[in-house]
Amino acid sequence: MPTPVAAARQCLTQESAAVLDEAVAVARRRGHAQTTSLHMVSSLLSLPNSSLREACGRTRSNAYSTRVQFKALELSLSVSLDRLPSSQAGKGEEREPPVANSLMAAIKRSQANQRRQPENFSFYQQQQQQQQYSSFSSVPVVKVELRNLIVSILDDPVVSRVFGEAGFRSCDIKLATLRPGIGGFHSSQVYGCTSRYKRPGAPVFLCNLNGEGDLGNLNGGRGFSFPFMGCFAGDDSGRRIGEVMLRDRKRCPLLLGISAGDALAGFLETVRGGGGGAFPEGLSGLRVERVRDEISRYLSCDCDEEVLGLRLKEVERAAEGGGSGGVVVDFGDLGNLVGEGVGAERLKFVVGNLGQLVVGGGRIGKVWLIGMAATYEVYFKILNRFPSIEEDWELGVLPITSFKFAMGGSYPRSSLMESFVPLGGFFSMPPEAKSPLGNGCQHVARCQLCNDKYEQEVAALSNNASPPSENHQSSGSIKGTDDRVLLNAKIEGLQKKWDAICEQHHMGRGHDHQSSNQVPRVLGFQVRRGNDGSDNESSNSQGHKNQESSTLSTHLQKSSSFKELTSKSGEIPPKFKSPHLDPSTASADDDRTSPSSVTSVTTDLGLAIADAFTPTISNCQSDTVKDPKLLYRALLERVSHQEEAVRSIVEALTRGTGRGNVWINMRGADGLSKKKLGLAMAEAMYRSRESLIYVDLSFQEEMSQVDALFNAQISNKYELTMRGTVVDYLVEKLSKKPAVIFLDNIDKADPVVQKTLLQAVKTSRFTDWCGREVSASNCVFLGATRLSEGNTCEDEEDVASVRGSAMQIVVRFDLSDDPTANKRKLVGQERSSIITSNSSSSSHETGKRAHKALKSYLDLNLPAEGSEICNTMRSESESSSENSNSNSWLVELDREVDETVVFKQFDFSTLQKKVFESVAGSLRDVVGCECAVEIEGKAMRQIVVAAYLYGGKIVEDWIGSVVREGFVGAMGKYSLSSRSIVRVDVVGEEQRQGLLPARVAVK
Amino acid sequence: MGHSLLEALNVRVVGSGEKILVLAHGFGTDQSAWQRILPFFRHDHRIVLFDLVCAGTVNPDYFDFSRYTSLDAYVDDLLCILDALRIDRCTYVGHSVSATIGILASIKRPQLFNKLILVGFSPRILNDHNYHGGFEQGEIEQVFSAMKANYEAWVNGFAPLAVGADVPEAVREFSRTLFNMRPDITLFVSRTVFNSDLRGVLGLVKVPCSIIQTAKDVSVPASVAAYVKNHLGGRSTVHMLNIEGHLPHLSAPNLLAQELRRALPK
Repeated sequence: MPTPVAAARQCLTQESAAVLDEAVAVARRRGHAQTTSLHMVSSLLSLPNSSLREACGRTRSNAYSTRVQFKALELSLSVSLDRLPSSQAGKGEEREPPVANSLMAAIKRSQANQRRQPENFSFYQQQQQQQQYSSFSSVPVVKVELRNLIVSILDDPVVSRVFGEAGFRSCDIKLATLRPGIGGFHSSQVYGCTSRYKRPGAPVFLCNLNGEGDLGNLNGGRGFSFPFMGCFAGDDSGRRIGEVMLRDRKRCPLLLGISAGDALAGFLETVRGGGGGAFPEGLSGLRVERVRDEISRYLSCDCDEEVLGLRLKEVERAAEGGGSGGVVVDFGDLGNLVGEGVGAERLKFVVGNLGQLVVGGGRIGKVWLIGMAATYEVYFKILNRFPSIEEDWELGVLPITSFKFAMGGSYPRSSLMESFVPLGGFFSMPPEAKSPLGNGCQHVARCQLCNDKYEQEVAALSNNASPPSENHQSSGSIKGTDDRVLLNAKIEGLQKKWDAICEQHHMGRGHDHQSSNQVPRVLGFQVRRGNDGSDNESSNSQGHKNQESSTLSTHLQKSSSFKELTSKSGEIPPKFKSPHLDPSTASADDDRTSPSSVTSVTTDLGLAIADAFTPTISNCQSDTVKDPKLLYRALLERVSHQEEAVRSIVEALTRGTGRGNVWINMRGADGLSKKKLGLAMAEAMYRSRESLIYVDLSFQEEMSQVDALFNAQISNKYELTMRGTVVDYLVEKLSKKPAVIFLDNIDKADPVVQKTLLQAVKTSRFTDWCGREVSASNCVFLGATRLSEGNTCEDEEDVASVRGSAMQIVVRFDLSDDPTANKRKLVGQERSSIITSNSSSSSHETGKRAHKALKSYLDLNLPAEGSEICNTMRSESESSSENSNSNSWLVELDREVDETVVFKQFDFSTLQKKVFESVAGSLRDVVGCECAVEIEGKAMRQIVVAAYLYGGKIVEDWIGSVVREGFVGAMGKYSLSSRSIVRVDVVGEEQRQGLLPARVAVK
Repeated sequence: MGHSLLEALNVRVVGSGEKILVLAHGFGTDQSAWQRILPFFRHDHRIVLFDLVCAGTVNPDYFDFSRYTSLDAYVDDLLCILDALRIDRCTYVGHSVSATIGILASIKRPQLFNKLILVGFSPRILNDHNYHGGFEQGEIEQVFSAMKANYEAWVNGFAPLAVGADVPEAVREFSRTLFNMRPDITLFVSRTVFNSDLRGVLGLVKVPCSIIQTAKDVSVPASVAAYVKNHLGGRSTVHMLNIEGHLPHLSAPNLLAQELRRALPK
């Protein structure tokens, strides 16, 4: 239903109309069916000294040059115009393409806005009042000025998309349009840098640019007049009930809903009053027969069957009598039928007889039952007792969900309210919410009181004035006009009275007419400043420059495990202390915890390295790359067993790419190493852990042990509960400073992220949804996925599931002749999956080495040949399914990235062997001779996992102290000899404690 | 009628796929509110978008004050749209008032919907005995008069409360769409919403439902989700989002998209 151009032109000033004419001409030239907002934009841009073009010029974003942006704008506009459907009527030359709905909506919006502007207000108000005498519905014609029209058109999503594609933001342009002459501002200036909410003029729309923000005064100075307030009477439930009644089946309406009672009463009133035009044709001359009172009396045993029977006969006769269009039998609330104390016999009688009425009524004349139930539950109870009632009574359920609009003076008129609403408008919080609105709430409470009293009086008044009726709300309007006038006058008096009382007693403290812009301030929002964090970060990093460099050198000199020890000391049982670690200084911030002695020792080296990584961020990457050996060493220290992967990564970093950033895909197992590597790169290349931005694209909720360990070390991690998408998060982070972006589980990326990443890898630019663009230069992107050819990583899942439990030492003496026979059985009993899963990777190794890995039950006493556990039961079949999973997107991304690195599986078998040897060695030290050691499968797994997570050094130390202590204890208790078998075992349930218990008890 | 309605309410169908997803916006927004949710689903769903007649993007002349007195007229609009598009089965995602509309539509035409996903749904906004809807009548009247006195001020105060103060972009977006509505229409529609009460009819809903609610929502107390779940007639699940605000599709689109994906029928 497009609007003819002439009609639209009437709403515009001369200037605007000229633009519209031009737009219509453009549409006609292009043969389009309608004139849309896009045509308007095209026309606006083509004007000589176009204000839109000038506004755009002032808002250009800093990503591109103005000229480029205007080119892009023209391009995207013409593309969008090309997409518009062309006119079917071939000879569009003569015809003016009518104005499209969206454009008309924009015109109407600007009309409404303009009417609200203060300088126009009184004029329109007068005009409107004049109009009100003549006709009610039409809105006075407002001639839209060009400026307002532009702003409205910019709101059109199609238009803002066009501008967005060209890198403009329509809100900026709006601002520029409305505030001409402010040269070269940036939106952040206007929105306020200090706090996003305490800005002078909240979101930029027409009104607040002109308005001083004062609340409209009582006489309606600025208050918008609502022409429709008086005519809320319309209610279409009557029509809908009528529709049900006209049906062939299920024609007896059962109104269902909390407000069904009101609707029913209203409907019956209308029927009694002759129906008016509210009903469909075919329902005229209806009569209402009310049997609800008789039914409820009968059910509550106030009268007997005869009375009700007679009444129903009467109804039947009335229906037979004809002459009228039919009889509507009102049986009232179904709830009465299922209420307490209703005898089953009597209920049956009622249901049966009413049912007969319907059936009989169908034959004889027209009889409808009508009733209501407040909730479905009531109806459900009836259905349970009389399953066939729906058919017998021909019930058609009609949901009634809206109350009638309150009418007349029965609800407190707003004149009462307007006087004291202190804030521009708020929804007070639900009571349990802690809200800073204490003041406001008090007002509410007090005036609620007044309202209640006022309402009570009104109710009493209207009840007196009219005979008792279900709802006093409608009674006023039903009464004759004389009564109503009187009543209204009385109500008005009451209003004034309570108004005065309320003001005097409760509002005496003054009407604080807060300006609207202060609202957020009054509410005391805790506004998080976007910049705060980074400021702190940077000042921190400045402050600790020296410490950082020393830490860095520490990494390079000392083993990595030391570093992890300090940062992870929380997980290590307090009793166990490495000799050079003071737990009181240990905290998450390891920069400060480096023992001073170490720092001083390495200061020289540290400074040298710090020089290598010059602080200027822009070239820090290239500096690192200049010295790949340094980087290689720093990285390898963290992930010593992934030499090949580290080498190729460093090569990729050194090689450099044309676009100023590096993309690396890390495939395969060993997720922990990837994460460690990410951290190490952040530290080595950008000199702080904060430079690692971590996003897990699979959004898994449960955290494994590996994740928990890792998460404690990173400060920039995307959480789903953060507002905004992953892309927004990345854009925000990247706009601050270059970093290492770690995209975990990249294969699980959702389509939005997929698209963005592909775009980013190709153009090295990120765009968030509102068009903000950042360049991703000087960044390193690490994509991690577990997918890789023929590799499964169940061992890591096992690691994730391991929980720490306490350990004990059990000593027994081997008296049997053939100890090995015994132990083979034990071997079969439990198979640690860590070890079995290792089989595939270690299968190529020598048998002698493999055998220990393959057993869950390590025992030096077992002969090497005794391990018959198969090499690899796991077939390669799984790999095919894995491959099919990797979607085409990943393949495409793989083509674009600079390097794809496959990580080896972590070699648990070697680690296990090391642990075992170390335990055996420590026992040998204590006992002084060879005696058999067994490490139970679970205990072994626990230790190995600890070594995997925290590093070998910690476990070495642990064995050297805690386990050794246990052995010493055992030695004291039972004098160990070469025939004794010492067994390390877990006790108790798995629990959330450290993997390495603080002490090992002797049993 | 059908065609012109599609045009008047700016109906759009985007995306490709077998399954049909209807995204219905709530009070104070228009279809652009789903802008950030769309990309997550357009590759495997055909998505139907439309504006409610009260939205600022619809020509206010179409808003017939005598027709849209109750939500049933909106339901008729929705069913007309779906019929005009020849849709015979779809998944319906409705936010706030549109969740209500979806419920009513599913009572009328249960076979049309295979699932309802209700975001920020409240069957009744006013408190009652044994029911906590979040508002007292007096508060509502205050809001109405504030709306009347100075619509702009009301929008500026209400938007950050509704969206959650920590997401300025979303607040700006919501303010924009809210302010685009003509004030008298806004007031009229809010009255319609506050006058509606679905508690009695929830049992009539046999279509499976997912209720998505944020942990803190100024318009919907958390207890409402449990109430709705207990009273719905069909299977239903509750997904709580651990964020603040009534408009998760604006303020936390990623999270909502995840939850929607989870709630979609398999």
